[in-house]
Amino acid sequence: MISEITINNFKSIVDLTLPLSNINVFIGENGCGKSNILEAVAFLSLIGSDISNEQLELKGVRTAKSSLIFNSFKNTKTQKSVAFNVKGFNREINYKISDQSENSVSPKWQALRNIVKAPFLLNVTTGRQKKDIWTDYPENSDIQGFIEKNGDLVDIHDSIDFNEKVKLIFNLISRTIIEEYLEKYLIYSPETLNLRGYQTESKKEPLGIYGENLDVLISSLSKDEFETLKSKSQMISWLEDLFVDSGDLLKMKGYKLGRSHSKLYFADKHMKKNNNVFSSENANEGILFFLFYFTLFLSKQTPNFFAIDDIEKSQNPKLCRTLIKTICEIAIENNKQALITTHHPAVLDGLNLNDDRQRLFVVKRNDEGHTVIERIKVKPTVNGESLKLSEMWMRGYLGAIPTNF
Amino acid sequence: MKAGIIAEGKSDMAVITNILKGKLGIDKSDIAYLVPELEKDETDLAIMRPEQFSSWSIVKAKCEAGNVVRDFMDIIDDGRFLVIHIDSAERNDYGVENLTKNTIDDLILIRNTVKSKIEEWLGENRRERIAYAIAVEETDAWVMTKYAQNRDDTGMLNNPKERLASKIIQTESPKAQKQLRNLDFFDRYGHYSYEFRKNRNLSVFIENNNSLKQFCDELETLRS
Repeated sequence: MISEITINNFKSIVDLTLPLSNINVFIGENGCGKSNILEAVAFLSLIGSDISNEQLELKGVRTAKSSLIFNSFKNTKTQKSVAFNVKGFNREINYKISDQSENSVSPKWQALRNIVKAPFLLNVTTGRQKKDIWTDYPENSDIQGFIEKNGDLVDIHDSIDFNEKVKLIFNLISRTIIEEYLEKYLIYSPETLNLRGYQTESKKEPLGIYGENLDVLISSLSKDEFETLKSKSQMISWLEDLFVDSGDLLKMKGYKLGRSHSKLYFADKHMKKNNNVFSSENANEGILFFLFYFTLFLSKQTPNFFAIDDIEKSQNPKLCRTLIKTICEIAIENNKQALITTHHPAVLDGLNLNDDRQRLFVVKRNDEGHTVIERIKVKPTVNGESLKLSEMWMRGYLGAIPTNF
Repeated sequence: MKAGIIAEGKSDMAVITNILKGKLGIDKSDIAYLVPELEKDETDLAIMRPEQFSSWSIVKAKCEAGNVVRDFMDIIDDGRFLVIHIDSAERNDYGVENLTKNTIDDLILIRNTVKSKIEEWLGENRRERIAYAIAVEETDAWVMTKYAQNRDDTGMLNNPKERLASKIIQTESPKAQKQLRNLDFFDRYGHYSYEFRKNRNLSVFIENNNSLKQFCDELETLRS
């Protein structure tokens, strides 16, 4: 899991450190920079491959020429590179990404990486015993000195300069773990028409960023995952059953008169048994969003690290709260990590801030216009009689509301 | 969030915002304005009387109810503090009577008596991390410190609001005055007190108003 990302010089972000855990919820007034945070991480996620406008759009990023990617605040000199520091998996890496195109509409991004810290496996012989020792590899450390201090023999010998070889190994290992984890990161922003199967803008597999292919992903869930999905869906009061009509046979029987590609069907417990099935064309959008989020967090095929923009879409406040509570449980169980933005107070009531794996951040612009964040922590002494977080937000106790009252 | 402000009006909030910036470097984005608009819906607001939006009575009501102090300060763990503002001009109305205003000692006594009154309203909700922005007579008198020519305390002025208006006419161009009139009270008084955003200015201005100085001294003790 990524434990911390520091972002420098990206859109409204000058210098921002995100201390992350499983569920990370961001609130703030419109235009404060919430989406910029999600997009900065998407930008970073392409570090191991091709950073291009096309790839950024596929990840859900609003693309722009590089002069609009870098900070452009009054009275400050523009720096022409975006920088990141990433901590996670017991590693720390610095990245610097510059545009080689001199501000064309199609930037040519070039990335440099610098390993700050990585675990280092030494195969050491002490006396007659051979053993592996894990240690940290800080840059510029005295590796030879460490080896001499800790053992008689290190099992790395050839003509290449020893320190150079060790650096090469660390670069390879660290890039693989952190960058593989990051590269699948997407910004999901489901839309009703896409969830209903009418639109297929995103081709991302297995789940499109706007909700495409939800039916396909549900049909490919394992038996346990599908049972969990059905059991969690019981909180939808009218739902009796849900299923995927793999052969699309029901379409031929008149159950799908529109042009939807979705093969997802529902049964309503209040309707007559022989006439209670309908397709996602006819389902209310609330359940479609609900299933989208649950499946995203449940499935082993979806990314382990992703973002959701405006999670509250089409959710009743009570359902919103339950949704967040449930996805927190699933995320922790399945080791998923998500950045979530919302404008809906009820989302906050689904969080348990006493659990360090569920985090709430207020995003705001400071007097200079820079995006800054503040993590909200509750005092451990607070008893159950305190205000709900949603009410605290609405009363202005958390910030994250327009101040031009 | 670093600070919350309960104040009589938006103009007071603007002045205090600039003082917090100058004295403690607190950014506006770290301040919560605990105004009634945020606690009421439009249905309730439609039937509220103007004096229920801003006046000493709302400060008193918020202190006595206690829930704002309790919920704002006791739940979130970020070292926040609360500023409670009130003008002393209407002190007779809220039960602080028979205090003259002839000497510096009188001004100090007024400030201390009003502070005791607020603490009485707070009762068990009194907290250590509260700073009292008690302006003798009005916050306008604090703003007047930037025009002070001698060492007289601007708290001695009997009509600081009018005196400030007169100074604005003298010092601002007609065009600027027109622009200022088009601003809402928060932005207008934010402009009037803009110099308070620098600590070096504040340290000069406080010499001309004891109640401003005492407020700044209290803020200093809250520096975390």
